[in-house]
Amino acid sequence: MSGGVYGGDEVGALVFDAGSHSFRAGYAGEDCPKADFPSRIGVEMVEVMETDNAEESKPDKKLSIDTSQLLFPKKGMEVVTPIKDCMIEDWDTFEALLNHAYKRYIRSSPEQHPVLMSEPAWNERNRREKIAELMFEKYNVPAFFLCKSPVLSAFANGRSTGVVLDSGATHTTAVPVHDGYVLQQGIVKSPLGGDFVLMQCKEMLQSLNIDVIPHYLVASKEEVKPEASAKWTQKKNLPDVTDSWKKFMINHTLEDFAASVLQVSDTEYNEHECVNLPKVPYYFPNGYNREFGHERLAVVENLFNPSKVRGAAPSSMLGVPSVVSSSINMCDVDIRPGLYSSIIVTGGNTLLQGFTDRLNSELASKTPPSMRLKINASSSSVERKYSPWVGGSILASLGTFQQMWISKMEYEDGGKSCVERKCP
Amino acid sequence: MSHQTGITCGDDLKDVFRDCTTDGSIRCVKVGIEDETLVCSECVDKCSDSWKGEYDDVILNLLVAKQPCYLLYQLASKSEWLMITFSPDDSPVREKMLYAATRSTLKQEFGGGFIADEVFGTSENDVSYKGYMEHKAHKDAPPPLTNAEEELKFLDETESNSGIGNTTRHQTVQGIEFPITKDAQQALSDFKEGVVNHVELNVDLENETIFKVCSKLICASDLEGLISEDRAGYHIFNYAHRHNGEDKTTVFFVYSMPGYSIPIKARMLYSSCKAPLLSAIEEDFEIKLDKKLECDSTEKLTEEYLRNEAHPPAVEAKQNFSKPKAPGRRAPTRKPRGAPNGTE
Repeated sequence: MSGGVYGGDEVGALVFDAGSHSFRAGYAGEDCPKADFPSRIGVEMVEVMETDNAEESKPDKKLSIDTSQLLFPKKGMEVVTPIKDCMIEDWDTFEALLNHAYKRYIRSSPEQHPVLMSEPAWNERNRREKIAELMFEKYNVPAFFLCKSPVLSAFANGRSTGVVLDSGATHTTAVPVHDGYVLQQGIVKSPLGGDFVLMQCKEMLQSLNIDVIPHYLVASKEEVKPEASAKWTQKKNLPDVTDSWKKFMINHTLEDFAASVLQVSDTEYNEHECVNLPKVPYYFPNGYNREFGHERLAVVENLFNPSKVRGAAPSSMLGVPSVVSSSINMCDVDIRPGLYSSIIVTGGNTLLQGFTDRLNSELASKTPPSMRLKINASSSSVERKYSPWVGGSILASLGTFQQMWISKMEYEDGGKSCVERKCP
Repeated sequence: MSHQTGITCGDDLKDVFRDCTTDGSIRCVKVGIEDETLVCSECVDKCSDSWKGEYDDVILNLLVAKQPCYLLYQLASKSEWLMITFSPDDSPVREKMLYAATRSTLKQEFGGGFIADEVFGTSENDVSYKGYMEHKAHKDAPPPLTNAEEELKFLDETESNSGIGNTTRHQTVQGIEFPITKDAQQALSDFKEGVVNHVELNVDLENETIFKVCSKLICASDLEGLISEDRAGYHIFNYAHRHNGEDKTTVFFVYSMPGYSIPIKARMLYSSCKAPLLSAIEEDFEIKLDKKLECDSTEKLTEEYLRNEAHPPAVEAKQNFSKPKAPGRRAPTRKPRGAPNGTE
């Protein structure tokens, strides 16, 4: 399926969805994004070469974008992210990501493709205008559109009304959507997301005296018995890497651990009840391996029950079910029934085994008995991970959607304030 | 409008919609999206007048597995329609997206005012008649309030029902109920039977009782002399008199309190004993007190005064406020020619 017709020519629109963990890009009309690369990038400071010609000064930053470059140890490379609180904070870095997407994946010039971008529901006006400005003036896109990602997620799940629970890397948010509008007063954010789970993993492994050795350190390893200390040799001649990069690499290892081992308990976690849980073996990069039993559940429990988090004041954080219920309760009482009956689950973090089942049972106890509770979660992991992108992709591929775009001409006539008008 | 696909109605669908809301013979319209246009895929005419009876037959036959669609179903009248959005979970994501993001457009094109209710369903059970009834029950159920809101509601209800307002009165200090001595009780019984027509009761500050000072038959003019200037007291007096040629009796309760010459303890106790005593007299001894007076030393309880209290003189009808003359040098209003002289 190719893109829609715009201005008489059939031109594939592009869809960008920038998250705090990864950056998704691809042609509209496709089923899944062409590119999904980390939105963190490595920055090396390169000493400026002394040249006779002052105009010919070299860039003083060397950027490492995308997995293969980022995972290679380099001296003094810091890992930075352009996105904070799901909003674009560092525009230069963001531009670098866009450039990379165009060059490496789109492989076409930006002037030829309209661009649809997702944005968080709480985006600010000046940022929306700035992104429009960037796309029109720097990249010369022929048309542009901004879409709130919860709305796209809801639509992609076939709903126009519902609460979108998005559990991503940095945040878990619940955004009520009513007839395709975001209800700003009901947005609830909690810092318990994927990164939090990784942090909990790390704490758990530390308490078991397990050192997490990222791949890059391992030169060779030997097969050892479960729970025996690892026999491995460290790579020599490694460059002097920065702390932020080390942390990034450790997290990268933990991500794999989390995805293959962790599971969410069906009911509130109780250590004694979990002894019979099937154990899952896991091999760390350095050859150390052991089986994990009740720890599998204990780690994720904090996501639902943050009162058990060490070092956190009680009730300072909202667990996932409370995020949803408080979001619903902040909306007008008349639309609450509609929201209860369509809770849409999206975001990579929700792919944890048992996440939706637990959410269902916890919410059922928080929901008034007269309300019908229904949780919608797409069974395909692609749709769950990329639902805003998929939604945007379908929307942008429609011929009829062309009347919605902000065209370059409109932008030139109306200035950047037309973003507020055209993209509510 | 929110982010919509921009898909709009085809011309034939617009005609169908017009017929729906004007003609009224159409029971149900199935709307689909084909080639990025909203089209009428099927149209079912009314078979009977009962929308409930036809519901399941019509709706369930129109549904296709794995294919979202919109259904507009006529309820009780041609201006009341039910909008059903059917979007099975296992249909392709593209279809789901299109139908979800075109829903408001369709609603607008059909006319939001004609849509009495909306149902969203992902399975046959959701959109069947039973499902619709469940939807209605869900909708009519008491709204899900948070704990804080429940409390507010409770407060609201209790406050509005507790009878506190400008018009209601609540005693803050209940008063103290001193026991009435046997003597005094006897005197009150005598009073009720008409043996005596005057009883004076006092408060015994030491023993905390109410005792009888005296009880006798007196005439109205004697009352004044019986009220002491040195001590406080409660007097009950049955005033028999003639008024307008009729024999009448009026029972007076007089609480005399000479004023600051009396020690504070007495002032405090007499006043706080009064209310319980009154209710004791009225309820336990069943003496109806017609008039309750309070007096201090300056007031003279003459017969005249009692008579006036018992039969307040009719207040003369007040004259209406006469309009003052308009200020300034305004000339007197000119009379229409030939009109009779009015009063100045």
